[in-house]
Amino acid sequence: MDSKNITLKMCTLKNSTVYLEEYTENITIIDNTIYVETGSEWLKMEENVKNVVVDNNTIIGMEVSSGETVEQETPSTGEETESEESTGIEETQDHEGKELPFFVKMVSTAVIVAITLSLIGLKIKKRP
Amino acid sequence: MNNSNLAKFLLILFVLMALTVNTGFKNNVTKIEEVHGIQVLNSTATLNTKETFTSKVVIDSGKTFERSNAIIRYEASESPVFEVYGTLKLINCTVILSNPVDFIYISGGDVYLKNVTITNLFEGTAGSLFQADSGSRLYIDGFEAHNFIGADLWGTNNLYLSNLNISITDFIHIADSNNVTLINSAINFLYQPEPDGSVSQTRLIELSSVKDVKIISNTINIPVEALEFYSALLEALCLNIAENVIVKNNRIVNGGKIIVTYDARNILIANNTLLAEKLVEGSELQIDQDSENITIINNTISMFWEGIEIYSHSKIIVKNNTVYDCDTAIKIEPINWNDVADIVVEGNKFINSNVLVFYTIGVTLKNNSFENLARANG
Repeated sequence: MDSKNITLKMCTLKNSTVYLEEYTENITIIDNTIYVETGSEWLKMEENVKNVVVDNNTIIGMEVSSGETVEQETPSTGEETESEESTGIEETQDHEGKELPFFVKMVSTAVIVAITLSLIGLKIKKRP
Repeated sequence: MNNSNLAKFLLILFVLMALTVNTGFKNNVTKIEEVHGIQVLNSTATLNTKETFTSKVVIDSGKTFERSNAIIRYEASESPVFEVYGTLKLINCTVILSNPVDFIYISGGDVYLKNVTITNLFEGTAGSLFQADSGSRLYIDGFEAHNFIGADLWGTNNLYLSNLNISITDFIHIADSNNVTLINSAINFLYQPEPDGSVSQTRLIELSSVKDVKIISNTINIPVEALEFYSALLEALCLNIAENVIVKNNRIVNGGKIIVTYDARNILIANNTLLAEKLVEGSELQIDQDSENITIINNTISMFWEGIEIYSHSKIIVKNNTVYDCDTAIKIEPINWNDVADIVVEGNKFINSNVLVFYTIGVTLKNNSFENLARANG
């Protein structure tokens, strides 16, 4: 952008990259909804970028091939960079609550059921 | 009533009817088969007249030349067909030109045209459609003419151009005029490659030093070959030193500068479809650094190098537009980059296009949608 005091607010970005060029400063990126392909970056910054606020954006992952939305991440909580040495920004969205793969769920459920049945069987055997 | 009185009554009634019919025919069946080199005093014909002129028609100040439902054949090679210092009225007329001449020159006169068609009997391009000097008035509602050079109107206040269907090889130039309306018209650019291949700035419609202008519901067509040849030097609609202008509901195709403002203020560009059939470097809708209070709203813009390019920082609103398949959807780069830019970019859809903000202080991009479909589709 190479500019000052620019606000990107309440926008929707799909497969788009916000690119902050050198000497850009006072950039606010808040309240946006950002769809991004898995493995892609939606925000890139060159050196000497100052005072970037990235807050409360909702990042939604998309599969590369079909563009289908597969994952929604919680809104980011906010980050501010004030250093001239900043070369990037830590995305602050949470990564909690990742679901286990389906077959793992199946196997673990089967094991739990087997153990329960075994315990019940033992109790029945112990009865006089 | 007895028979005698009834007979008298019928006789009187018959006489009155006959007088009425005769008077009517006297006014309407004026046939002028041929006129040689005339200077018109007052002349009126109203029904199915055919006239042939062999030299230009000069209408003096205070005089009127009026024709309705007439076929006017002009066989001279002298320009223009009509030289108007007084009043010219043509209603439901066809003008047949045998030679490539200018059509109307107005100097302080009044011209009223309604449903007029020009037919060319020659190959190639005719002359100018309209030339007007200061103090002239021109009102047109329904006019068809093809293969003319263009029009050059100066100091023509209350200019009203409606339902034109014209094809021109050069441009329409309107200057030093107030209260100008161009509405419901089709204006086509006839591309003729420069014989020596040289490329210079070309404009199809230019409004210079104008105030209170409405350009509404027109179709402005430029062939893609012309866009390829002239690229950014071809301006479809140029607003130069223009004030209080509405450009609304138009479809403009293949301008290098599809709309461009120079030192213009209070401009509304709304609900237009602006498109190019080929992506050509430098093509764009451009707001120059001296323009201010420009609103660009609800337009669909596609296939330009820069959909919207803004060099001004003064009261610019870009709202609810759809911009797609441009190299850059919007580029904001105020020339006076030390000043805080008063530019709002809100509610737009930017599809398959970049957005560039350079050397700008204080722009807010709010509620926009940026979407790269090409990347999503691989």
